[in-house]
Amino acid sequence: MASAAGVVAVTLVVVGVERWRDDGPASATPGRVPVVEVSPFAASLIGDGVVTRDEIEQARAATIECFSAEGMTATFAAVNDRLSTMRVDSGAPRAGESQEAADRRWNDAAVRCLHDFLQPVDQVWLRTTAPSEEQMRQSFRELQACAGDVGVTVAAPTPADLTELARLTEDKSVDEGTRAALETCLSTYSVATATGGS
Amino acid sequence: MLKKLAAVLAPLSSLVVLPTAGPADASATGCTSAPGGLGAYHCGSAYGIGRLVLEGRSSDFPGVTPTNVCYPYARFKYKLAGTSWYTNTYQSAGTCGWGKGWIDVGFNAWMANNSSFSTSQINSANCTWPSLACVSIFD
Repeated sequence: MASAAGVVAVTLVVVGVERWRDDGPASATPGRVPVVEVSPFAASLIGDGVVTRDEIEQARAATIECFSAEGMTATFAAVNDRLSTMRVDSGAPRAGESQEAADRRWNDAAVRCLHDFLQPVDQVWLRTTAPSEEQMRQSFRELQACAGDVGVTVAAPTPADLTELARLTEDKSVDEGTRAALETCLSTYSVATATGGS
Repeated sequence: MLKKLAAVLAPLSSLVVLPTAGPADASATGCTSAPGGLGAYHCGSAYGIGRLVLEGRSSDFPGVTPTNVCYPYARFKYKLAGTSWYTNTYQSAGTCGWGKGWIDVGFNAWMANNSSFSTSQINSANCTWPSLACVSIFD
């Protein structure tokens, strides 16, 4: 190895960005009914309210194809029989394309391919295969035991308690080993109880 | 191992840097406020040895109002050694987590000297790509 004296330093930058949601700006007129646009492809898979294994595989294949059309490489890795993670590598800019233009194209593709081909289908897939109430209770008991092993009590699966647990994983006054252990507990719980969000 | 801090600053309309942890060997974490709810903030971490970046992490916290953070999708922008352009890698987590959406990506790759390693994240609580948080990499 070279005399690697390289240093990684982080400078975090924030720029005020107006927040938009699928239903428009956060300050949308009260009473307006939000309209969530779903692509024809996604609509064809989720129109009956359920997503089968074959359909989620179709969605993943279409997502890979969408990225491929932009010269990007998408791969899925199974977390378990319900969940997968996806990694997309951009490759190089096209001949004659500036870095800025390539960045814009890649960012746009990242959002568009997910929106048009994966996310809506994945959400319904996770709901279709959602764990039962008993499985949810069991997962929470396991979370309690996991956190309890490092001396942290989680009283109930409420947003407040779970958010506090997440905060502890970043609390520098908590020792690093405990933070890492709690993060593993939370990650395991999130995977076990994934329901597709709201 | 020489330790330095180097700042890579994009043009800013505002800059808030909350306490940046003292770096372990060639690794660092920092947090800043972020788009989203009141008190929302973003943390970025990079772990490496010299120009070898082993792993990057992007974390988003939705703020004081508990929110289920779903579909975190992180962007990492970096220049590999031997290339003249910046590559982007996007990584999804595919799950929801109360109060925190985080993504780890393994790189195990040598980066170009005097380049930056940057990250940002979108998720169900924030669907606009925020500005990049950058890490400086050099011999």
